[in-house]
Amino acid sequence: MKDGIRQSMAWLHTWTGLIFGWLLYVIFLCGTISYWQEEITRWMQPEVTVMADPAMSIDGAMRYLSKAAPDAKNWYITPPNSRSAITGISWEPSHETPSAVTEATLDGSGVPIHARETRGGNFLYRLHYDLYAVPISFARYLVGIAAMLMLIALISGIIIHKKIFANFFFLRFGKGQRSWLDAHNITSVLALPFHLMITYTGLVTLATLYMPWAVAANYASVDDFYAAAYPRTTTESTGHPAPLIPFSVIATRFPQGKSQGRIKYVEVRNPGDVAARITVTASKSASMDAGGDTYEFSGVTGKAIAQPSVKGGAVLTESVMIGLHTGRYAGIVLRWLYFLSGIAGTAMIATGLVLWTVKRQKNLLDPEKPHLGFRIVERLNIAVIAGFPGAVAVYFVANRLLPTAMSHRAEWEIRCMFLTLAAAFVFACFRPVRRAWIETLAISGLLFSAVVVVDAVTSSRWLLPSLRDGDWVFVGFDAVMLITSAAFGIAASTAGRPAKLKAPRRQPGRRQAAA
Amino acid sequence: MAATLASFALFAFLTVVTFIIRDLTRLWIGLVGSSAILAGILLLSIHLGARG
Repeated sequence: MKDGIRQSMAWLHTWTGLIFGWLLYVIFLCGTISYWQEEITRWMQPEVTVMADPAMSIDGAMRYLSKAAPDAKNWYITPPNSRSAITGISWEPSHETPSAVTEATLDGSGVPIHARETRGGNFLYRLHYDLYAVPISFARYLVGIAAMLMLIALISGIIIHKKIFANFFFLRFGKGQRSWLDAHNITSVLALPFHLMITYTGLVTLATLYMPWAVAANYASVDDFYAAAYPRTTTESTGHPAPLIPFSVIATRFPQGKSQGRIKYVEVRNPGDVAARITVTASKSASMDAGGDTYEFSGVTGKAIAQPSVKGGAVLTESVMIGLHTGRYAGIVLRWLYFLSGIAGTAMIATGLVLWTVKRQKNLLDPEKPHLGFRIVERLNIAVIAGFPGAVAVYFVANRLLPTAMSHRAEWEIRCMFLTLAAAFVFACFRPVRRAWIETLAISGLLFSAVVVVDAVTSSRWLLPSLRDGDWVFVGFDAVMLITSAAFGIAASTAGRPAKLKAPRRQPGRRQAAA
Repeated sequence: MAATLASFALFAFLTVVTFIIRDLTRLWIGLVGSSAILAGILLLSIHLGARG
């Protein structure tokens, strides 16, 4: 243990920030990108062009499911909304008729969409808490530990920050360690409430997984907890067939004012049976409550069976916290603010990681041959901070270049991304550090430009036609790619400039004290 | 649920306190002692039928 609160906290801040820093960088970057996951998916499936009405799409999906999976136990339908053009469906097959395929993507009239196979923006969203190529439960625990350390790093960072307000206005360029510290301070303080909120609410999204003991102390089983916290009726199939009521009838039966709300999700239990139940989860526009309200109807008569239960304070708090984290309630301006705050958080982690090496470089016994730990941190910084964004760009480029009929196409898009990350690491290991920084940043910048160029060559919805047609999702995507490319270009050029190091100015007070 | 939501703040607070306290013995006594008291209360509540 170190002497003095600030020293102890500085030590804690340094090491909690470093240990999972690279993982946190990937989590933060992918989480930030995920605020546009629906738009990214639309860009990655340019074949899907028409926006559809949610109620009509659900009707179409039910027609499709009644032919494709009439004996299924449950159907799940995610209708299109103002940001997504597709209807996602899945079903739980019965034991008597097992099926290899249990999901599909439909258009507004219930016809399967033959778009290129991709996991779209949803992959980046899932990557930020499920990671990749590791068991999901392991990944979630790992992400939870990283998030907990991030929270501790934030709190200890606040404690060690002597002039939290004054330092916000300092950004001194070309001064080595001082400049990196300024950049770290500014990106931290600029969106500090966001960083605290996003880290805490991130932990809350998987709260019962990370902290199961409160549930264990109060309930005989986890199922009992879920039954009490999220009550729902259970209905068994009777075996007597009956046709399903069209969803358009149910859509008119929401209580006054709720029809303005967005239908998020529809579940049909025992479809085609007398005991069929249609459960609709809807949320009011701009409501932070991520869970929404659940209405239950008879699937045969359309009669309302259950109204939304009144949520307890804790469950509502949890739901609002998750809503705050995912930002699905946010309109376009707030969504951009979320995105920019996320970028600030990503930059905060990146500058913190670089600061670790800059701070220790001057104390190395032999700067030409640093110790192994230093070299690992240095190389990982280059590969992850400069290389990972380039890998994301390759994910988008692969979406346009891989043949549409290729088998396991979606998986290959992801493999291209991770192969690029691996290549960035190998590159960082074999190049001199300074050159590796400049070149990796420049390559990443070029890859982001390549997204726009490849899009123009392979798609009819590239930047200029999209501008002409007012296709703002595609315009916005390409514009962000170009801005990111320019940012990496500037970073590469800045890294290429020699640092202007001046001798530190003497402080008069100190001279007097010495005298 | 309320306890679960609050537990992350408590855990972060305890970690920070752990690194602030200078006397290692007092730290261990504090941690083990408070854990024992809380575990005792938990066992008692379970025996009294808190798990329903």
